[in-house]
Amino acid sequence: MRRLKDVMGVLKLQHLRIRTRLLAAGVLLGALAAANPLFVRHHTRLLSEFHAARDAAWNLRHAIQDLNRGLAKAEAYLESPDTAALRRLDALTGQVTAGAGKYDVSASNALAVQYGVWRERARLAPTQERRNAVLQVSHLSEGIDRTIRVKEEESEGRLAKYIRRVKRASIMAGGLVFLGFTAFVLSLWFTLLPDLAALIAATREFKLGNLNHRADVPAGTETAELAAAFNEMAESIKERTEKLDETHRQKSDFVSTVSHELRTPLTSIKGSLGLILGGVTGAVPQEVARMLKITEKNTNRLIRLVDDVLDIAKIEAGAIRLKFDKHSIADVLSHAVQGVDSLARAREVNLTCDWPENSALVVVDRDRIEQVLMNLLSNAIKFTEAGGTVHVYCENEVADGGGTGAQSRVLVHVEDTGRGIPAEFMEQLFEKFHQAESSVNHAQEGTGLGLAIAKGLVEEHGGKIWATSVAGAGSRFTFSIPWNGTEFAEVRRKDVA
Amino acid sequence: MKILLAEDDENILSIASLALERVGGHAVMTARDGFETLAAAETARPDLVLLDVMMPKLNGFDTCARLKADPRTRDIPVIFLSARAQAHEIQRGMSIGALGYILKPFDPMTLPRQIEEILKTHAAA
Repeated sequence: MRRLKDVMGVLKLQHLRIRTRLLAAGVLLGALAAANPLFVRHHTRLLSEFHAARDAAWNLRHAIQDLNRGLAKAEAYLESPDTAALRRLDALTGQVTAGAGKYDVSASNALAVQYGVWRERARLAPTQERRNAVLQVSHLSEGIDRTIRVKEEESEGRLAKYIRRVKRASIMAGGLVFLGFTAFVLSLWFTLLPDLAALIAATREFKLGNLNHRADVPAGTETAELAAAFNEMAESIKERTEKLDETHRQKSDFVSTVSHELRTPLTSIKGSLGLILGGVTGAVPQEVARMLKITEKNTNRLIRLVDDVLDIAKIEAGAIRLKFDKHSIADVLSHAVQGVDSLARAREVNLTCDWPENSALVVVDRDRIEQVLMNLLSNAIKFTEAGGTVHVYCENEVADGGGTGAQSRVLVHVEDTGRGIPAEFMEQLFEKFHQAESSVNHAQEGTGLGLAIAKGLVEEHGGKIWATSVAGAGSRFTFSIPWNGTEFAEVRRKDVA
Repeated sequence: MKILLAEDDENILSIASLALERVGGHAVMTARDGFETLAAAETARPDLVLLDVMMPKLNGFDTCARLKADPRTRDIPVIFLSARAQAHEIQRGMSIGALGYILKPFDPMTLPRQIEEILKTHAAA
């Protein structure tokens, strides 16, 4: 194979355009196809002529035999005249002399003359003279028969030679087609296939993130043009990706810097307030303490707002980086519930949770999913009156695998018996700075970004979030997390709340 | 516990020092940049370094890396106290050898307890 490859290299076939190779192969096959009917017609004509000649010879030889037989009985015809027999002899002689003329003109003429002599003497000449004439005719006709045999043998020899020539030509033509086709196939094998393999490898490398990889294909062919186009596209994608990475980095740096710049003064404010209200700097008059508590509450709200604005900025910039790992959904639920337990107690809301016997093992950024849950749970608790219930539970939804394209998922529900959400607010529920609660007190507690952030984080995980509500009866918020449908975690119920 | 507090912001330095001393009952030394922190750690051998990230001359990450590279200060626990709250920044801090990361703004009344919990968690591990 290597030698064939070397031959291809020497012939520089790798630079020959595919359409040129196709054209050459097409011309060769076309020429052979065009020559074929001409050849077949010529061959058929020759065979027809040979068969016709052979038939004529065969008929003539039969006629000669009939003539000789007839002549052998001629004596009897003369004794009791049989004019029909004599006329048949005349006809046979005529047929023989006419046919023999093609093979031997002089013999044919001599036969005609000798027969004419016998006919003339047929009844009147002495018997021996008549017999001598008949013998002459027989002798001449046998000579013609021998001549015919020789000519037939020569003709068959020529036919055999012709057939051999035809066979050789067919083998050569077949060999030419085979060589041409083989050359064409090999040229594709050693040039097109490696080129395509190089392109496929380059595409795969690019897909894996190696943006510097380029397709290396020898110039001159259509695949080289395809490789050049691929390389141009790769270069363009690489530039855009680098620009995008740079933009993301700048956005990320901006978010980080803004986060730091906002948090630093807030640290001083919160810190000093905490020390004063904690009594570290001494006793604080009640009225002063009340004012400072208002300041502290709003400082905390401002801190939450800073966190939420930065989160939303990251989500919208595509700059949020999730750290995916496998976690038991029961663990995540349990931890989030613990996080809001004190809030629920303070508001005298019953907080319950439940999950299936088999806790699904999901691939998530645990901190972010807990953030989503904490947000939904704290909203539910805030909007539920004392004595009400907030219930968080999950269910495993396995896809039926019936080709619908649906994926298995885990559904997490946060249900409350609160006052519900008016229908007119449902459509904008997950939009930024939208708060369904019109009460000033509740509005002051939230930033209006929690559900927008929850939606962004869930969607970053490939899931969806939605809500149903009945005004006056309660609400249910649900989000989904993609799941492979088969992995479960051992749930040690004593380890979870 | 003797705590070395490295912080360039005067206000936060005062608040954190007060919280650690009055609420936590700890002895507090202060440093205002990375190099001061390295020098103080080497001479005073504190029980803990509470390290800000954004500091002049030498930032907190580099300071921590040098503390951990020096056999004399390698074993001093380091906890970051920083407003740099991005996940990759926290991860970077932990990978350099810090025991924990406390985000700003912090509650001064619970700061000593947060530090104790981090040290307890590390000791248990």
